Amino acid sequence: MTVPSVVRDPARRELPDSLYRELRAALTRAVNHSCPSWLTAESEDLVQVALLRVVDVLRRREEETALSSFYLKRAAYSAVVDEIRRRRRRREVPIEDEAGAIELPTGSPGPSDHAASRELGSAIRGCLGALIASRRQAVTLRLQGHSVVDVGRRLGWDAKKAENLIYRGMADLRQCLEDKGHAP
Amino acid sequence: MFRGQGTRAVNTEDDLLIDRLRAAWQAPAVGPPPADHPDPEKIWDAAAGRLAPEVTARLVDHLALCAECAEEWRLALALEREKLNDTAGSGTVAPLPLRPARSSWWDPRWAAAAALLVGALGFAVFLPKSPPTDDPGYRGTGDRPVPDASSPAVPGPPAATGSLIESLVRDNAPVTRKGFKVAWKPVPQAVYYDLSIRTSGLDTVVQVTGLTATEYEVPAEKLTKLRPASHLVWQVEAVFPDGTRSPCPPTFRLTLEE
Repeated sequence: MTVPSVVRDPARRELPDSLYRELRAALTRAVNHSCPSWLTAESEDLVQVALLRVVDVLRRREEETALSSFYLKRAAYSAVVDEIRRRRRRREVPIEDEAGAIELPTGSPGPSDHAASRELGSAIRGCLGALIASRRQAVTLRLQGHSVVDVGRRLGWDAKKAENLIYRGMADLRQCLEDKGHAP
Repeated sequence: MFRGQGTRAVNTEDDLLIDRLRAAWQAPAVGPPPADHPDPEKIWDAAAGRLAPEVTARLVDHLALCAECAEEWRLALALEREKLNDTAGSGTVAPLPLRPARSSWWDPRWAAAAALLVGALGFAVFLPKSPPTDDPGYRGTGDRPVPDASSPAVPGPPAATGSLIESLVRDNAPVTRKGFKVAWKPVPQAVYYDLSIRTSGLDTVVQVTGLTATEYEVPAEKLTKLRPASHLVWQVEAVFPDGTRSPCPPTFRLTLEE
């Protein structure tokens, strides 16, 4: 006999339907987009944990509570990250073995490519640590996917200054990587 | 790279380089990560652009060395970009009535307890508070990062004495049952506001958190069950980039029309 999903899923029972659907969809997309690869198989679990946290937030509040979507997403995000950190701590497989632990489709980068990529990533972090602070911050945010204007906005600079620091930071990073034997 | 062409100049050669490096940067790290990680909420707030630049800069310094927090930052960005049924960041609020079954929670004894608690809290806000900290909120058991004494303090309340909230609604103004608006003056450096409106018996009429606007339209449906000529009280707290709240939130009064 199939158990109705509302019984299996306390978050669904507690949250208004439209909110449950929207929040679940948003979380699923975000987690699938950005979740660490070693947690891909557990992404559904992570979403569920986050939804339950939202229910907890609502339970702690009074009945006529209204929350902004900013606050809800923040609570859900926080739950996902706590859960990722918890699983990371619990995880016994060393991170170096990750590429071997997941089955890679034919034609995708092989274990040696992954190893090279991780090595380059490590070299980037080493080089960033040696950059002038403002250049390091500018380049880090660019690597994180922020636009030049976004970088400036978050760090309190105008676009021109952000552009300048990214430019100089990238030049420093390139030189450092070359010195370490990584031609970018 | 062609310099002197505004921000578009970075979008050429360096962008190609950044694209090449980004894949490696986002690969899982080799070696142990730093011992301490910032609180997820701080990462979220920084990724959403809601923290002071000085605090953001310190978090970004951590990201530069910590692949795991960088990953969490990207997750925050991805989720922040997801839209729920209100416009994130606009201050518009998605009302979330809980399911009717939850009404069994309400008990007059809780109201009495809540009144006592509110009284106690009201007393507590007059107690001396420790000054706002510039700790970006690190979690963990390892060594906490040593704050850089040369860096500017994280913005907290602009003045730690007296109330910072000024109502733009006349005190004890009559308000209509068809809905009304409360508004207050913006507080410098506040990142968002928490608002509560209660009856004189301290029953909650509206409670909203995370408001970025400095006004809130109370919908008519929140007022239907209230008795005519009810007195309402409302309070706003400003929340600052360092997580502190405005001290001594004043209570403003309203009277619901007959």
